[in-house]
Amino acid sequence: MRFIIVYAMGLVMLLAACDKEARLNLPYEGDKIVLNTFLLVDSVAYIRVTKSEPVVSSNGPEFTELVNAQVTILENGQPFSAVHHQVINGRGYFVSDSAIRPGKIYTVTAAATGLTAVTATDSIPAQPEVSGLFAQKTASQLNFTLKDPGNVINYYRIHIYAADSTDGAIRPLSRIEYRLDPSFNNNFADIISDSYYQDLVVKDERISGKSIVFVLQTSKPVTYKYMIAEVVGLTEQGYRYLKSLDDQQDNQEEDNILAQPVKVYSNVANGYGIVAGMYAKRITCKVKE
Amino acid sequence: MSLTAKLLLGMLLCCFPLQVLAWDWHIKVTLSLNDQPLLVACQLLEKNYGIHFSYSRDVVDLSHRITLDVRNKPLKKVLELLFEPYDIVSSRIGNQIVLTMKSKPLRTVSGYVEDARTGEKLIGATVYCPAQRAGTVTNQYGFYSITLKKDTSSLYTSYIGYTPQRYKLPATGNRQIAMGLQPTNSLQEIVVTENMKEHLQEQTQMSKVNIPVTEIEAVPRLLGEADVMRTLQSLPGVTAGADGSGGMSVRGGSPDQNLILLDGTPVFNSEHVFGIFSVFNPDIIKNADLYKGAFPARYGGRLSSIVDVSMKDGDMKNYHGEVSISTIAAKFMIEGPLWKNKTSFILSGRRSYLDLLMDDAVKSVLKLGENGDFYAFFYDANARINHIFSPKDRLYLSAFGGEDALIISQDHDYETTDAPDQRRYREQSSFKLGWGNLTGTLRWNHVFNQRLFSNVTFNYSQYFFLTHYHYNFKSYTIDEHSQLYGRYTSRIQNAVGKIDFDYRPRPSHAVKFGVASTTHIFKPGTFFFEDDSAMPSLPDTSYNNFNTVGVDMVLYGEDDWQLTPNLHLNAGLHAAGFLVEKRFYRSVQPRLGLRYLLPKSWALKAAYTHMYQPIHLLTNNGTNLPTDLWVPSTPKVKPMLSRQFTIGMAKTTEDHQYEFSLEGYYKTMNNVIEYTEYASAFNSAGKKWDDQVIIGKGRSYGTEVLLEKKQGKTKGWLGYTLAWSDRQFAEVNKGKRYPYKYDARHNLELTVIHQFNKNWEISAGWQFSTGKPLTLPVASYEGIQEPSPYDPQLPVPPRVDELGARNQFRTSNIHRLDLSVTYTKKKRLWTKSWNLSLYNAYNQKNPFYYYVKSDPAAKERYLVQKTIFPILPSISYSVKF
Repeated sequence: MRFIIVYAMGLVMLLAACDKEARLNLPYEGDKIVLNTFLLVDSVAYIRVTKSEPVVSSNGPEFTELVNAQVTILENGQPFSAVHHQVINGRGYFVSDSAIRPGKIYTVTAAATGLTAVTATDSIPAQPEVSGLFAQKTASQLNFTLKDPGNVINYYRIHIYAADSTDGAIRPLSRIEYRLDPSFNNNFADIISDSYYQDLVVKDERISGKSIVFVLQTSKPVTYKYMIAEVVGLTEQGYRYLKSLDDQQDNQEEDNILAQPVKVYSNVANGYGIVAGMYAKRITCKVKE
Repeated sequence: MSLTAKLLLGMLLCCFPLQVLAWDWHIKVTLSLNDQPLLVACQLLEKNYGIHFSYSRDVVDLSHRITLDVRNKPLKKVLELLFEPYDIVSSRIGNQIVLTMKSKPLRTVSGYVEDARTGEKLIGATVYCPAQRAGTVTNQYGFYSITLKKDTSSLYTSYIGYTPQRYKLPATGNRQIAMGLQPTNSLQEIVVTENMKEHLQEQTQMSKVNIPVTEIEAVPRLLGEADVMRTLQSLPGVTAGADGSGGMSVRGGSPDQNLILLDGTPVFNSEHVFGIFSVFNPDIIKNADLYKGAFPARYGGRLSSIVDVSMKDGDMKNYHGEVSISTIAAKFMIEGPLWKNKTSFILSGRRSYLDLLMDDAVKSVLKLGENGDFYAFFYDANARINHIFSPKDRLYLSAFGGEDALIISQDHDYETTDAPDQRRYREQSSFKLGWGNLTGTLRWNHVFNQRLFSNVTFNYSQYFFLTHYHYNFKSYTIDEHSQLYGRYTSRIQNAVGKIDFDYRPRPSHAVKFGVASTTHIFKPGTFFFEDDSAMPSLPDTSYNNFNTVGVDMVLYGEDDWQLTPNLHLNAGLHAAGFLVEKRFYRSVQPRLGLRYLLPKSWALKAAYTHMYQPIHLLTNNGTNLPTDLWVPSTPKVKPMLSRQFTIGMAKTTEDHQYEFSLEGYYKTMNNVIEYTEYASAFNSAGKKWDDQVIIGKGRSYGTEVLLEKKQGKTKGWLGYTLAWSDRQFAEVNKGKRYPYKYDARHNLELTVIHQFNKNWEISAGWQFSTGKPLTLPVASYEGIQEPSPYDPQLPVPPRVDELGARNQFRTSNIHRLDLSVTYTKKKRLWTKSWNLSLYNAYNQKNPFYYYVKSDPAAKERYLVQKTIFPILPSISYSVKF
């Protein structure tokens, strides 16, 4: 609903708005450890440990990595696996030796000299029950069925990939932009503003306990051979983080007149960042000719 | 003496007394007088009938001349005819008739004060008796009632913008006097005679400001529209959001704590275009009063202010109209008698028209397609009919409606065959966003007698917010089609029945009391969906579809009591009960005011009031929006309560030119709510909305100074406010008090209106305010979006800004100068006028909001303030006939 108002106000205020650098000194809360990881079932943990900076920094887009941090992971309170530092695609991660297992509770801690140690805990959510992915060439819609268990509150994240088959395995090529029917996420303005997304998070408020066909509208007609739909189960902490992060990103856009300051959720004690469990399910299909 | 003589003398002696006792009340007398004094009547009666009159010449005045011709009428009747009109009482004591004056020390004069040309009733006009230093003001219907000692010979009536008038009272008797005042040509120097008006210091009411409609239209305009709410925002004690948007905060209260009444009917959202304009068309407004504290007992239901706006009655004698066009809107007003001096009507309407002009341009910018449509407008309309049945009975029927709407529809027919896009489908969509009000009021005034006035009201008010979309999709290549409809509405409705009495038993008491009942129906956010697609996928067709009903009952009484000539006490009590979902909340609110007159025309005033609000507005923490939802109290969220103590001094200068008031206040508010920091804005208020809010308290205190000049060629006011307002929630800033978002330490407002001659008038307004609170980020850190660094789509990790404690910073100071010039030319049949206004004359870049901007090239981030209103000239033209 926020988008409707932003859109409307933006339209109405076609007056020349102007910017001016503000002479307010932004303070700094001090260096803290930033601990970020999404613990995905059947994958090793990739933990990123960096240091925070003042808001008006001139260090460029990259943050300082704490290469010498001591990072530990506990599974249900017991030591789980050793971590080793590894550089992947130009960035440093603390990678666990073992893969994340379903149904457990993980606690991650990080300590570095000169900074307060941080810790965060989250559980692993249930795997989403998705099936029946279907898409047709030249169509603008695709659909799949999601069955939501009614006894808990579930959160989902949806990715759609165009895919190709190589060596008998279907591999994702690129993400497809889509939008949900507004009856799911109440984003009425998507219809009129032609907005499509690569990544959406949904709470089960409207679909709790039901088996629903998700119909997604794609921004471009379907032209690829295969398709992968990945529905990721999230915990409440993961959902709050991703949603608030998305809201804050929207606010960074210049024309968002609403600009209500958004607090991004964090479950890291004494620091910043997020440790959240995820459980993904991928379903594939061959696009019908 | 012979026996016969003795007998005769004896008989004579016996007869004499009989002759003296020979008259009684029933004897028939004949009397004939032609313009002769009463004294002669007495002498004739004595001479012809032996009736002796005894009286004190100092007390009883027998010099009144009468003409009388009676034959054989009983004596008592004749004496009544002679003496009754002069309040002389005749009573028999022994053998004489003793004359005394009737002891009737009081008499009541009442009636209506109106504009002599149009019959428009004047609200708040002063009716004053200088000899007794007693006066009153007309009520919301222009009715006054004043009880005085009988030996009053004249009353003075005055009202801003009209020539004061003196009325000679008939010698005796209660009277109903209709007073008609002539509007002044404001260039005339008003020769104000001594003690003609009830001065500011003589009123017990404090914390009240009245804005004359002429001033609302004279002050500089934004985009050519004169506006009553914007004018109120330039008074001390009243703060608004940036550039007037986002609601009005009075003495540290939140925008939902203002009760805005139009003819006594509450209006829930009084804003067009997100708060830039109000829904009140100044052409149809007669009077606007703002109460910031010291609330009279008859008002209740909101904590912080009462804005009482009254519509004009309509000209009872002649037809009038006005048509005007400004930079953004066009409006008309027409009024006149349906039946001369008995029934009048007034009708007005206004619509913004920019969307009609920009239609084509917007369609191409937004790519809406050939058959696309675009509308973005607001409109409002008012209608009112008044009917006078008799001097004792009047009926008023009025209605108001208005809406802001944005409608966009697109129609695309894709036939592209170029790879890779290959779209081949038809897509139509339409989207509407709107909000608006609808009110209806029926009132009946009944004058029981000189001292008792009553008003019975029935009114209905509704505020709705609606957004809906239609979506049709049909593919040309395959069997794929979609037909979707979705709607979100929220609504609050109010129906009120009440009766109010105005009772003036004696000069030292003015009593008001009444009973009211309000039914609220809350519908906070319902969704409704339809899906006729090839593959329908609706979770449900309707969501959050429920109504909550609450009933409010009020009983109030107040007495404005003159204890001594210098000391006035206004004691009132407002008792309210709110029943919702089988829960009952009650409150008894004292409303006390005191006024003590000091030497040299200074007055010391004090007031203590409790206010109570059982309904809340759910709003996000940034700004007030049309999507905000009204909800009733729940077991977790109890009604809000405020206690306000005010003390001040007031004075009007001897020449009546200047009014000065200095007030200090301290106010506490309990059970204020706001969304928790993580609650998504615009949540529809489902059954468990109270799980998403936190409850706390607020406090505000400060001083307001106001110096006003209301007469003469130059008018205006200078106001200064020094104020603090804060909030305290256990969950925010670790439970410490923090500044409320409308807290601005110093506020200075200066407005000047000067009329050069009958054609030219200029006005200027300058406002200055120190910075408002701001929440800013205090650190930045790396975010994460994907679990795996090997994801083919791995984006650059986002930058997250960590927000610091709430409201710890301040924006830069805000100041602005507005200018306007009006040229009026009176022609034979009509009057035309041009107004040129300049908003933000020296183009001060006042911050509307702040954000952090990233400059990737320079590898820098810095705080930027965004201004939305630069210098804005506007022009408007109007024709009055």
